[in-house]
Amino acid sequence: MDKYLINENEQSLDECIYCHSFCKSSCPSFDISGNDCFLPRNISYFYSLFKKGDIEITENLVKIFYSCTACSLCEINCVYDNKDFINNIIKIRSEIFKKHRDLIPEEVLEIVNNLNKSGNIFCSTGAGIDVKHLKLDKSSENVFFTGCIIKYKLPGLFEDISRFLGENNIKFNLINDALCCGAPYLFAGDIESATRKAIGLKDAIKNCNAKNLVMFCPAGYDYIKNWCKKLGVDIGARVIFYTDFLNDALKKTVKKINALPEQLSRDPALKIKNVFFLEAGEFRNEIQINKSAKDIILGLKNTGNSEFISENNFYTNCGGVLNCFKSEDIKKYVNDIIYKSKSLKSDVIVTVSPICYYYLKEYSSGIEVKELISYLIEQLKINDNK
Amino acid sequence: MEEKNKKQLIHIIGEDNISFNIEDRMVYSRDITPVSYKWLNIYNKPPYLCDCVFRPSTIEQIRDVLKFCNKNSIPLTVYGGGSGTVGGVFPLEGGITIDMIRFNRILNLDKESGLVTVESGMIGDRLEKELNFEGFTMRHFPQSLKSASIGGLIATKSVGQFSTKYGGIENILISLDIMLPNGRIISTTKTPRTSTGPDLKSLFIGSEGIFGIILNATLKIIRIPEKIVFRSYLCKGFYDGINAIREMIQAGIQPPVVRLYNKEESELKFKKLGLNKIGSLLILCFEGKERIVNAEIAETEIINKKNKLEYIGEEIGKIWFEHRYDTKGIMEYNRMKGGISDAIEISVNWADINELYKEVISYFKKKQIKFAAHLSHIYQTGASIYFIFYIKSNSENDAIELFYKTWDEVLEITLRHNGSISHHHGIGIIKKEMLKKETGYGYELISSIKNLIDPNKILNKGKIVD
Repeated sequence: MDKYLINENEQSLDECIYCHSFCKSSCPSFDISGNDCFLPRNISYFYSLFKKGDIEITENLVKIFYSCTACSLCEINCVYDNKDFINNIIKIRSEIFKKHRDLIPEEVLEIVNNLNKSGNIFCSTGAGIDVKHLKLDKSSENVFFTGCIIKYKLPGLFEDISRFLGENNIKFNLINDALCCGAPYLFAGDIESATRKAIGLKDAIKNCNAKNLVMFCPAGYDYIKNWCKKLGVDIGARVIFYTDFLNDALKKTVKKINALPEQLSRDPALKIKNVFFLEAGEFRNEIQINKSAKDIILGLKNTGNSEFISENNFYTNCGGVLNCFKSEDIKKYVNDIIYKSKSLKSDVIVTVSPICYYYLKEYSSGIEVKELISYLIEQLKINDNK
Repeated sequence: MEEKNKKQLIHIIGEDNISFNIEDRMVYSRDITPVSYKWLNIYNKPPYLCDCVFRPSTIEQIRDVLKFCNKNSIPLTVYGGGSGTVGGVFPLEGGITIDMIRFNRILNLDKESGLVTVESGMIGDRLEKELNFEGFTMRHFPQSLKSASIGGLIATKSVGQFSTKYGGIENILISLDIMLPNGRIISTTKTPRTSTGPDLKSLFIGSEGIFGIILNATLKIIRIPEKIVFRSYLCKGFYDGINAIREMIQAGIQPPVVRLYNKEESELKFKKLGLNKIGSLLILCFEGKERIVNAEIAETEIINKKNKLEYIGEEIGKIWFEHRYDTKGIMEYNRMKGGISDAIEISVNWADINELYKEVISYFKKKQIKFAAHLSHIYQTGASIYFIFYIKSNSENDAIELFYKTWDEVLEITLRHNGSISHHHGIGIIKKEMLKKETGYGYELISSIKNLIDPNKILNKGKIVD
């Protein structure tokens, strides 16, 4: 096992008590595939055999070990409080990456190859975020790191956040060079490359004297906040998810928000929107992060502009991209979310996960989908101040 | 399985619908029976292993496979959610295991009549969530809800934690479509009641997959109740609690949840909650229209006072409700080397309950087996008792041997007191011999029906009947 990932105090992956599968009702891999082999309880079963050398490593077994999206919802829901499931999954993948690379699913290797070639998971050669229009402040202690999805697929989201920050006179900077945070490498089991990326990011943070590293992607947040330490890299800054950061900013601008209803009431087209909020699973037990996102939506309710009606989990991260989020699977999953949101008569689905937003936009129809920041900008009617 | 059979199967149903991978075969040959947990430490592979896992997505595929199995005398075992606790899915003679997971759609939601028609592979928890989105609920909450399939709940004749008001699956199941081994489908009538000869539907409830393959079911649903209230009481003795709940139910009060724990199990619960109380804990839940709920509570208070039950608040009930699917207490005992535990769920009439309870408890004490007990499914004429036992022996094999012995001996006592050997977990491999004792000539009748419906004995071979 990889030296960085060993921690004797961690619960072993084979510590499953075979309860009535609390993991089953929360596991996205099972939800999509319907395959019991992909359930954490059965991955644990195979792991115990793997550890004892009682099972042959086959392509199918490797597929099972790579089926987990690392969303951590099984850890949150486990009645036996097994909090080390994902950690152990990474350990197994690390072993497989070193010794049985030929058995790793093609889509996983493709992403690793893309990263090796271009530094991003899409193998995109585009310029990414156009920083010329952004009011970056190189002396700011708040530094944003967007990740591949925003940089190459959804640069508009960062433009939205910069509008919001500009409106509220909050200074910020952006790390635009460190292309990949390293999370996809980690989830693929390439610990060496993941560690290299973590060190690169640490240097980038040091170079801009950042105190707060604000993350946009739930998986990237989890990786930098929780995994870098396990890889032996101290990132040297406080890691904050952007909803926490925004929520703080909104509290400081409370007068402005309270003043909004009057201003908004002049808009005859305005109606209260029913918001279907999608939580991301990667925050593990940091429930305050999803809460801060919900607080933002609830804050909008006070403006008479938005009604928070329901929440649901959506599970995406680099692990998800690597494994089960092939187009057919994603479509199936998106349809499920749309069905639920429509049955609750939602007007809009709001998510805090860029990758989730990306896929919902791509495969959904008949309902509005918004990333939280864009929804906030729209509802607060913050103008373009490029 | 012979190579020619494999090829033929692939030809019939397509490569994407069948797996011969060892990993699939291992997973789909087990459930959560405690002995199968012990197997993890004894064997590399489950001792009973299917030859392949078949995941049909159409009725025609199931029919084709049944035809193939009949022709080649290949056993076929149906797998729902793998949440059984008595080994009902163990493929005793190998063959094909059929995983119904792709049959997971809601076919019809009739809000006016309060009916949902759902395919049998849908997981109970998923169905409940879908219904909740529409403002409805099944009110059928077995502890396995998060993993059991609708077909599995019917095949094992399940019961939920809200059963005292809403009954078991047989009370919410209106009709079903079932494919017989000859490929013909029986669709039972979807009306509230019929008087059309013997009730065919009942033949398949609790049949554990030996008569046919459940394709879909129509279930009764209700609007999510307006009000839900929990109340907890302390009873000086277990029998005081029994008297109170019997009076309550026989007076026509219908709390969906009635849970009366014996002194041993109550102590564990009080200790966990940091409460210094001695006696038996009773948890009640009332739900429905507010005025009806209030009236039921008022009537309950009169009965409970008469039986000297002390009201101890709402909180314990609420905590139970939050953790109601948690089986950690029982299951984690199985992790210990030589440790094994299980819940024996029997049913008995009020007239026999005290004597039966007394004898089982003295059996555990005599054998020095750690135990706990509670009543959680209450009827006008009697109740189900859960006897939870914890065995510690020197080895995994000894634990398995003692496990079977304990089951048999407790069920023998149950039969002596006119009880039934199974309230809702089913027969599986654990209670087959005892079933013969309970049903007498009825067992021969079940065998004859099996021979008539499934002459080649392909479905769930070796279960319930020989």
